[in-house]
Amino acid sequence: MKNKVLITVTRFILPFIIAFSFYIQINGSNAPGGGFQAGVIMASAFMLYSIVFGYRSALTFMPFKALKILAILGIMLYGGTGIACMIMGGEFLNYNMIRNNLTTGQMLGISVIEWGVGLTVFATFSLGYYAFITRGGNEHNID
Amino acid sequence: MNTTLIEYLPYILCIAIICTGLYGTTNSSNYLKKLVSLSILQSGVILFFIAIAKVKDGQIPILACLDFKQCPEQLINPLPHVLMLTAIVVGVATLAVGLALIIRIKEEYGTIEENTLIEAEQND
Amino acid sequence: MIKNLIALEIAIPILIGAANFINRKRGLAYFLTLLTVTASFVIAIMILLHSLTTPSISYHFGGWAPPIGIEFKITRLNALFLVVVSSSALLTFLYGKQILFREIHKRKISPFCSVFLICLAGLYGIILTNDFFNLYVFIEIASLATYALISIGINRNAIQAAFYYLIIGTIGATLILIGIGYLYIASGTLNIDDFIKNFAQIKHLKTVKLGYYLIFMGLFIKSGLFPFHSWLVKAYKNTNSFILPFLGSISTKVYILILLKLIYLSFGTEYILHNNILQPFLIVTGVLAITVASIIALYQKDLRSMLAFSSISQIGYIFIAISIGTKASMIAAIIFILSHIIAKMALFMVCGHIYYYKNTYNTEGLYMLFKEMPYTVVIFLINAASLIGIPLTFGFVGKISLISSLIEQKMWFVLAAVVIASFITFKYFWNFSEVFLFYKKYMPKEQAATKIEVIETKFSIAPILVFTLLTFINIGLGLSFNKILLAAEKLLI
Repeated sequence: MKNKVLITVTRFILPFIIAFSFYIQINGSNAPGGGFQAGVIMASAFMLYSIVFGYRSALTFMPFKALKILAILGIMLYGGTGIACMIMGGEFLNYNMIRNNLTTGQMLGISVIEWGVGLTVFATFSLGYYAFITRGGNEHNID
Repeated sequence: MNTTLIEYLPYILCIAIICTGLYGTTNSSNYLKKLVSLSILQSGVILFFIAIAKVKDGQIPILACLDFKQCPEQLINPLPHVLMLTAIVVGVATLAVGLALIIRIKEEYGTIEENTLIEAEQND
Repeated sequence: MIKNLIALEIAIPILIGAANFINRKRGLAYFLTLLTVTASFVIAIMILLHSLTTPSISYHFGGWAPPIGIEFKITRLNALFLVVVSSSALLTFLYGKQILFREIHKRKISPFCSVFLICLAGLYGIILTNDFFNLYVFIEIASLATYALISIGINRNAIQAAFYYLIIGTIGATLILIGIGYLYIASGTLNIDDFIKNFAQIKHLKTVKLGYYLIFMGLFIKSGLFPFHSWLVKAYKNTNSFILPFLGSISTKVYILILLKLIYLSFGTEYILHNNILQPFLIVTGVLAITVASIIALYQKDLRSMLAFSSISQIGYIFIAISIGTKASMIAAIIFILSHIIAKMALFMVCGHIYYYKNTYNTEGLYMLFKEMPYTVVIFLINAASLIGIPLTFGFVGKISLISSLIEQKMWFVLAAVVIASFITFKYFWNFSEVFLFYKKYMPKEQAATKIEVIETKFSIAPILVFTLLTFINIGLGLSFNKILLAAEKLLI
């Protein structure tokens, strides 16, 4: 039985939650925030949608495969930045090597790895949530 | 000791939370309660690290002025806060692995009470 | 060039473990993991060869110099342990293909290999790092991966064992974290070398004492010292046969390495062991471990639980060696750790091999094993001899170094306990050897009583080759007694 209050409130508030998670992701270096927090808030938005509207409709727009690719993409962004810094001649994650202007290099490096962390955290929490709720007989229908 | 007892109050409270978590972990018979008490234990440790970061008359460690050397304010130590971001992530990951194990225990044995599970293991 | 390899040693297993996440074919996952483990072994050998010429290599992550940034430091001790851990992983992967494919469900093998790579990266990080909080992070990475690896398998008790290990291991790691907090309060720095540089001014503080007590308590819990050993028995008894040789020999030893580093190379034995409660505590728990655990092992009917209690008693020997406090005893502890890794790994591989064919670990199903698998029983006997301390094996070198350190320090009671415990070790290994070799006492009256169904098994040469290699290393190192002691004196300190 669909609960009209939940559906209306969720429809209203979900875009704000997603926008808030992007805001926290971007402002990680000047205010409290950053990758992990943004990933968790985005995952909570996803879980809210999944709780109110059912996990099958959540699966239609974010299937397992997409979440796995997002998780791997996040880790590859982080590791890729580190290895790129190594290729350009410094140590692992030495941001001074990627741009001539040191400040720009630091900001670019930190932003890229924070996006990587945010993506991976979002994907991992959502995958964990899916893994928990599809137990009890449904797990072979999902993958 | 030239500090009064009241100045140690944050640390005493944090240790009290740690001890509560430890008591819950050892004395609960339900696996889920053990896991949540473990999470309380880790929250106590995180609060302890935040408590040691405070500097007398210190402000929030966000630089509001442009030149670092001319800022008049005293800032609290941001390093333990950053370390605790990592510790929170570790705590969440531990909770996730523990919950996954509890779900599998429930599927295999049908219960998550400690006494029943120990008997089932000895009978296997 | 060599410096970049240090970062790659951690980065490559994590990245390939993550990339393996999307793969569903088990053959490709196994092959990719084998390739990564081989690559990390090659890098470890290169790091070891390079560290023989330079006393210490320091790698600053992100270009930030040590008190500000995270530092990885390679000394000869670290490089040796890096080679040992990576070669153990390689040998486990070479030994276990058929066993892995038999015991673990088809769809779970690919995530299993990913988690194994992450565990490996965590263990490498524990060995290499020189920063307290980074140590905690890598301890937690390795531990979480270990909890997941233990819980997979045919035996459903493995899940309970993994949960039990999770609770106890997380309490231990949290104690380490609180201890790191106290050390940070006292000194203001997280880097181990920087902490030791300013150590003289803060030596007298109670904060430092509380800090290292808590860190050591956490490390004792995670290395399976006697009162805190119960997770070890449950975990070794119930887990799958693929991960058991690796985790059973390596997972407790890296924490003992950290203890060795902190006690002997950083804080100094005068501060930690003398005028302190820690030395009596370690001696008492060490003696209790080697006697009580050996006595419990006498009554075990299950091969894996006997070997688990044997592990606990060997860890007791290592802690006695650590608690003596001289340079010779540190060398004795390191030789003991290495000999235990080699012998236990071969014994657990023999267990896995027996289980693959006979489907049982209990003595009731294994009588007269010598008739069906003579070579395997001979390997079992040789490695058991190494653990007992019979001459010509590497275990004998370790025991003799330990006994000579004890005689030097005139600890007669502990020496008596060590000798008595060696006899009890001989007895409990003899119990199982009797079952394997001589059948007349143990054959049950009715033959069909314990009928265990036998599955079609493909013959695989891999386990036999791997534990033969380990046994050869064992005997080879045992024969070159003098050279080892000389090399240890020169290279490690």
